[in-house]
Amino acid sequence: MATVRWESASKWFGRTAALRDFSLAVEDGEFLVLVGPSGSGKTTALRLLAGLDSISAGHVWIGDRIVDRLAPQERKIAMVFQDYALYPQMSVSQNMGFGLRMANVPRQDIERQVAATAHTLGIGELLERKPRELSGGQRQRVALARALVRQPQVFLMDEPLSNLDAQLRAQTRGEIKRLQKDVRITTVYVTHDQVEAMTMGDRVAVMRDGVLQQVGPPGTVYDQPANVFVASFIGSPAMSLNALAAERRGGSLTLRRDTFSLELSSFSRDVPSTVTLGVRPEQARLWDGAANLVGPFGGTVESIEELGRESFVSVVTPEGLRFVLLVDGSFSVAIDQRLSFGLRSGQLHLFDGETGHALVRI
Amino acid sequence: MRLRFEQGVTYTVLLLFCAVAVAPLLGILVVALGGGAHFDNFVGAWNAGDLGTGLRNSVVITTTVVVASAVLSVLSGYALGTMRFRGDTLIFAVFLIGVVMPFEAPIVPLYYDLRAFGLTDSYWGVILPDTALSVAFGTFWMRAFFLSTPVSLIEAARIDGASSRATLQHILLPLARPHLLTLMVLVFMWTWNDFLLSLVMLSNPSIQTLPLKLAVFQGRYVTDVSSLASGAVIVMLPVVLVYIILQRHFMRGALSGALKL
Amino acid sequence: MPSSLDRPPVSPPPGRAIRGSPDLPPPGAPRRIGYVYVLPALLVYGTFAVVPLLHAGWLSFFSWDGVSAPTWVGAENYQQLVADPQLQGAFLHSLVLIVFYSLLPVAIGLLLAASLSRLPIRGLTVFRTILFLPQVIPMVALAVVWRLIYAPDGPLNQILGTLGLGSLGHPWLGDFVWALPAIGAVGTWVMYGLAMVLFLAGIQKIPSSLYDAARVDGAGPLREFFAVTLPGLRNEIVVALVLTMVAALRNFDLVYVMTRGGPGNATDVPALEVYIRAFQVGDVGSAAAVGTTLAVIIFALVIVVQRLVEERLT
Repeated sequence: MATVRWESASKWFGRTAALRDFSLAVEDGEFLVLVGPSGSGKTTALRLLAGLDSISAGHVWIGDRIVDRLAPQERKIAMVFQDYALYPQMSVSQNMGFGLRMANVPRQDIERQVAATAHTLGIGELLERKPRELSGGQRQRVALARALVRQPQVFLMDEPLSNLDAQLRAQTRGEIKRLQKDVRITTVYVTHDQVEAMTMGDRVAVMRDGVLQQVGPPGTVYDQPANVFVASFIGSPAMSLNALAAERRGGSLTLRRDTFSLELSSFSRDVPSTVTLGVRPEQARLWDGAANLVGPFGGTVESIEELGRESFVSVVTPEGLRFVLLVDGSFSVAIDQRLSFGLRSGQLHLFDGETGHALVRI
Repeated sequence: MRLRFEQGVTYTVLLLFCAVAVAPLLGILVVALGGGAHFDNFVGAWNAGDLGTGLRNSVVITTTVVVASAVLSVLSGYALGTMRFRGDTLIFAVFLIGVVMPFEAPIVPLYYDLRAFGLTDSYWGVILPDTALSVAFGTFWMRAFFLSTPVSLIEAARIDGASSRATLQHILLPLARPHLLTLMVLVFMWTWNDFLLSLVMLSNPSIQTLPLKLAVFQGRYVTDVSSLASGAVIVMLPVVLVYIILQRHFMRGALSGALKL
Repeated sequence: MPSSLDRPPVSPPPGRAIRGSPDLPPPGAPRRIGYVYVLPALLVYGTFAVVPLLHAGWLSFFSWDGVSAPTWVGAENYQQLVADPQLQGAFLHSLVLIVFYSLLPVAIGLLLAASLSRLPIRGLTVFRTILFLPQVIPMVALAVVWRLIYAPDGPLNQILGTLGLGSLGHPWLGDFVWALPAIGAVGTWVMYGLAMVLFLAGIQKIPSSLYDAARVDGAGPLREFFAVTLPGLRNEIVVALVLTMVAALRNFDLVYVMTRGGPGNATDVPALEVYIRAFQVGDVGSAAAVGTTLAVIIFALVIVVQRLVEERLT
């Protein structure tokens, strides 16, 4: 078991930066998820850790060692690849045992460890099969087993679920998470899927354009996004973001666009003149006059996403502001219908209109 | 209606040109058999043309060239397809020259240089230059294969602690087998059919190859039609047999090799 | 929506403050060992192909009989190339052979492509195998076969006689006019299968939607051929042209076995000149010059054609 740390790590491909000044520490036994859209640098960070790419600047630590110059096999890591990278002509047991064989582990020990790991993962009856004779889910499991059997200090996973269908993906998410908790091996997991990130990670590191945006437990990242990018990337449906003009008057703050205005009394902070208001769907409700709602605001239904138990209703105001409302599934609504809605005070996010940085919750 | 008619035209044209392609070959077979199913002409040509010696020499030379160029091409193709090192592009460019190089130019100094080392009139005089040219195409061919294998396989092997040799031996080479077989089939065909190099290098009858034996034989027995026909059939037979068995590889090699030119 | 988050400037840090080069290969990736893998192949190839090729270029500036000391003659061997009618004839014959080896087979192949229906062809593998057969047989054997066919009392003249066309009969390979076309015809026979097989493979890659579109537009078979088939086969046509042209230029086996360049010099070709000059009359320098010229022509041909193909791709 080991800690992992990137220390101001950067990676340049020619003149393009894939990763910029990336610093992040992973605790021993932690499940850390690197999440971001493609080109965000998440895979690069993982490959620097694996030793599959050279680091351009900074350092990578595993335990108390700088491993920048160490070959992958000297780093005591194991990796699950997106395409699994199973050796096609080897059986499952040969695939699993290959790393041990290369390390000159005695044959009986290899067999014992392979059998034990196969048992843990429930693939004991697949050991003599070739990868092409396996289903996608089975291959995924074998790839996991191959990584696990080597008893690595760090587990690296590069989008290991992206080739599975939705149902299997949801099921395997839970299994990997449980497995990781059992073996307690430090794990760095890369994905572009924010649901995967939120459900699996002890902590989630959100990345964009090679730069770390925010790192924290899923709940924190969700409730306190550091900037509009994180706010819009994490959560589904995404947070509604609307640019507004901010006016401080005495002890109150007014957010305004045309005739839309939202007034907050007893507001004492300085804010820039333009801000972005962020509202999660569950913080935007049909107007019922409840005390914790500000409003009412009027809008027209633009689209509806019905999920049975609940529905997400997208509403546009006459001023062109868009909000997604979470409503009860039993509430019937039609497109172009006019609605009154309110926003939960105390649960709204305010971001700097220029930089996108989070300012305050209101 | 139109489709039915078109299909008729297609088959007619195909059949016609197939007939033209095989007619001379079938004709020669009939002449060689002398109008019946007896093999006297073959025995006669075999003895008079010393074709047994030619066959042995062709087998020795071709086998050596095929094996040697396969081994060398796998190694160099592996390095050029999976590794980065200083000068790799330059080295590959040099190999590419050999893919299209006509042998008519280098053969002139080659003969005099090899003669100085006493290598003419020996198997080596043919094996070494033939291997050299085959290795150029082979490197090109195997590199293309290694480039097409998923990088993640090589990376997985690296994480598993496999050396470059182990990666090749245990992971990539088993995958490369069909591709390598195609290469060997092509090299077999080129080496077996080579005439110019053997003609220049091999003047001692005891080491002359089969095509060379046939050329010598036909120079001597210009008028003995059935013997000549038998000789030609004997020289064709091995390569035609291999072709029929492995025609998929011939075709794939000829087509994709040519298209990648 | 504001989007400008804190982003460092998009350029590498200045100077060599960072360790090593930015594009350093991955740690532990095999690098220098690459030379070990390449070396055996490079050694054999370099010694027995590249060095002789360069040596040939060098020798082409000397007068040498293969025995005594060579003397430097500068470009004389190349001047001779232009002045010597025999060499001119040899290269001229190559041009004639290109018509037979290259243009005719490609034309025949296109005829097939044009007559091909869009329905799947049953027994395609068998057709391909037969069409390609002449390609795999040693040229020497084919030369012997065709020499018999062309013989004065051979099957060709017999067939002409049976058809009542005996007056058209010739001692083909002994005839000053007919010997070169006779050899060329063998080239056509060998090469058309290659062109056909190439085009058969290529035509299957043309999306059938293109043909459907052409038919919807009311195109007849002829317009269909020029609008869809021909452009779709461009790559294969170019490849067929270059392969067959190189074969035509390099032709040696056929001529050597069938006519030795005769009668007179009627079927003389550059490759035969290389052989005769280098190994029979002892004019090694001149042979090297002819060989080098041949190599340069072929390299140029391949490079030009490759450019054509690449232009199409970009």
